[in-house]
Amino acid sequence: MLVLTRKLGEKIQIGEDISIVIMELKGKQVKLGIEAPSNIKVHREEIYQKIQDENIRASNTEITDLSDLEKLIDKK
Amino acid sequence: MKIQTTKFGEMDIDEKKIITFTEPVLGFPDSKKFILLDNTNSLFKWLQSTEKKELAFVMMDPLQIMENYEVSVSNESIKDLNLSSIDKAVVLCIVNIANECASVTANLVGPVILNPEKMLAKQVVLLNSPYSLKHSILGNIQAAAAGGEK
Repeated sequence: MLVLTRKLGEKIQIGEDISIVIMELKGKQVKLGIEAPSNIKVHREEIYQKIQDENIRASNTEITDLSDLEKLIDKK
Repeated sequence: MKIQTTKFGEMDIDEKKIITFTEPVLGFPDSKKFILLDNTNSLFKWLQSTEKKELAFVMMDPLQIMENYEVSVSNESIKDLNLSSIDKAVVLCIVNIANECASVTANLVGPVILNPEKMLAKQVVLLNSPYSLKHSILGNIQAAAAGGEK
């Protein structure tokens, strides 16, 4: 991993068309401004991780007969 | 074509109905081929992997549980899915059924967008959306079912 130290307002350039600027430092939080072409996906890592976790949980369902589920809902 | 599934045993499926994910469902990098098992009269459908017999997701139309549910699809995704128009896309969300149906939630943040004409699909991530990853649907289905009976 490449580790760089930057000051407030300074930038990191990645390739030709992606740049990241340090916008604000507040306690343990850093606000970053990211400029990138629209075809580059920028996500907070945790949303990816959360969706992945949710997918894995969903795939572990033991139910097979979905009419069971609808029946169960009717009862309630 | 015959496929093996853990939940439904051996199935004979139409190869033309196999959906190819242009990007895998997050967490399942090796599974790109699925088939949608559409139960008539059911709110739910199964998205069954044609490659991994044990892999299947419960899916549903998010509009059944949330009126005015909106998905913004990037131009890149439209290109990826070879969609001639955004109106042609089918949006489904993954349903998470836990603890013998004690909890049933829909993931409204990571919907699956399907192009039924080309049988291409991908899971998209909605950034800054007002929706929940775990939208409880037990109450909503009850209401929808009650509404449907009238």
